[in-house]
Amino acid sequence: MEIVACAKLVYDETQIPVEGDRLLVDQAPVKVSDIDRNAIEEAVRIKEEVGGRVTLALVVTGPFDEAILKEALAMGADRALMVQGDEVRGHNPYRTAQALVKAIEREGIRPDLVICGEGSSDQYSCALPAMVAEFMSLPVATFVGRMELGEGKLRVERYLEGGYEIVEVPLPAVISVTSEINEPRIPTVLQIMRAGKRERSVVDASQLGLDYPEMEEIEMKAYVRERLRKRIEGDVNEAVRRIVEVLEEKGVIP
Amino acid sequence: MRILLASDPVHLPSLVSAARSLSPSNLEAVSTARAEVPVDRLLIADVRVNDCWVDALTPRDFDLLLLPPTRDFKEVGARLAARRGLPYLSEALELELDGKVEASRMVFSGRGVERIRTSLPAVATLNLDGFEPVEGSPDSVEELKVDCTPRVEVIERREREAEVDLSKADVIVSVGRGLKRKEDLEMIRELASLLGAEVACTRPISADLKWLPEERHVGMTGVRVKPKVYLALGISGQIQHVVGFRDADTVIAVNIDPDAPISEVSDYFVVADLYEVVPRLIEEIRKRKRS
Ligand SMILES: Cc1cc2nc3c(=O)[nH]c(=O)nc-3n(C[C@H](O)[C@H](O)[C@H](O)COP(=O)(O)OP(=O)(O)OC[C@H]3O[C@@H](n4cnc5c(N)ncnc54)[C@H](O)[C@@H]3O)c2cc1C
Repeated sequence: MEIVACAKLVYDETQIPVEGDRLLVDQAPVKVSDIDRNAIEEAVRIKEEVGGRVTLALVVTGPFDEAILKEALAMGADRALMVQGDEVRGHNPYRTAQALVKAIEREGIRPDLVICGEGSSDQYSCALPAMVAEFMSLPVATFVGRMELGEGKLRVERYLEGGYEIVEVPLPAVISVTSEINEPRIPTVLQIMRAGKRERSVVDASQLGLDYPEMEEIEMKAYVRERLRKRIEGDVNEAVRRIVEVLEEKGVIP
Repeated sequence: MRILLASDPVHLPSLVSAARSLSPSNLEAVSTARAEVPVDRLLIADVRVNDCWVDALTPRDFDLLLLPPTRDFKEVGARLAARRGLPYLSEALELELDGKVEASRMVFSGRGVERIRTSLPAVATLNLDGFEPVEGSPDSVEELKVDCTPRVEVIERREREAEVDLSKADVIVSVGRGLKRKEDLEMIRELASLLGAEVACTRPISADLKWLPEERHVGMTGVRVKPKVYLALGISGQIQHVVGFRDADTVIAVNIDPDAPISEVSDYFVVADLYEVVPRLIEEIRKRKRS
């Protein structure tokens, strides 16, 4: 089975410093977008079950970090395809999806299965998997929390707001997974060292002849809310009394 | 400005309300069932699967297509935009039109808000918080024939009626992984009932453990709440959760870990074991109610 696991290298949103109403985004380290690690894990599990090859297609939105690429590859991907350049920065899922699809095509990869995370830690627009499917003219199932491989098809459970949907998708297909689907493995140091030698290609998105609607980012602000940050420590009974006081003050209890 | 809406009948009245605030010259809606909403034309389409939603909307003419921000419609909107070569805005807040379209979006798990500007026609899923549903009669109602051969086959679909709308709750008692067993929800429910509060949770409690229904999970992928008081019990305070209660007036957190990140985003941070706090709190409030 030819599997592509899509992932995005993003600024780690939990480590972005804030200055007034500014987010100092480029001072944060980068990481593999959280749920994309579930996508890589699922791709590797399928390969372990039925054989085949996993390509890690990595969209590099900020600075590149070799250690992070190696760690992601070490989860069990066979090679990396990195897509980078100004075209895959900022917010334009159309452009990113097109770059990814064109890079996959240019590498001559004809996937049986493309697995993505439901949404990225930076933008969470949840658009990319759906767009990749359209650009590749493949069927798609989004927000998949469980899946089972059958003969030439997948049976998946889609996790929706008020319930779930079980659907069958013929292969080749595109799937987006939610974080509930698996527990991503943590590779060992040895696995990480070995991963450095795996095959990789780098594609510059400006070479792909992209054609997309423009989206202009006109402002970005930190979203903060000041809190009192009072600490209550020590005796539990005293702490409970303080909570009751606050609840009273707010009119929650008489 | 021709605005087209595509929605399930449940979200349609709020979506119409949001669309009307943009003063469209023509407002049309496609829905899977009849709804009493004030639009120029209501098209009823028998679509059961996302594939057919995309096919149904592909030939339609609009300046702006608005969809509810559900998981299904996020797929439909993105696919349609890709197919038609149009810009797509996901979960837009504060939409503005001036020949182009501008919208805010939450980014970096809610740590920031960005403002995006793009051309029309465009497709957007729209955050519907704060839009009161409107009622009225459509000027005309027609059936929309959809020619579609779905590529995925739906085997089963189960939808529950949501039991609560947390975004309207005045007081919320919310639990996280600090809760050890499902049975312990009993004491949480008891506390909530004494406070006239709704019970909420973090995503692992609903999605992984399935102890509470999805609509009770607060955060980026769940509900955004704005109660007078948000009492967070055994919740670490990861940003994806925090963004959901940011508009609460007062936040009280109880956590056994003195360094839990929630200490930074609460008004009162109580370093304690929730299993010691909750029973005492119940007792204390009962005492007061009796006297
Ligand atoms: C893309 C994405 C979207 C997400 N969206 C959401 C979302 O919308 N909502 C959401 O909630 N999460 C979301 N998450 C998950 C989020 O990152 C956190 O994993 C989650 O919020 C953590 O839940 P928790 O605080 O219950 O668990 P934990 O992080 O495990 O924290 C448990 C806390 O309980 C404390 N504790 C343990 N025992 C006790 C005790 N006896 N008494 C008191 N305290 C105790 C611990 O000190 C700890 O701080 C999302 C994640 C991703 C990647």
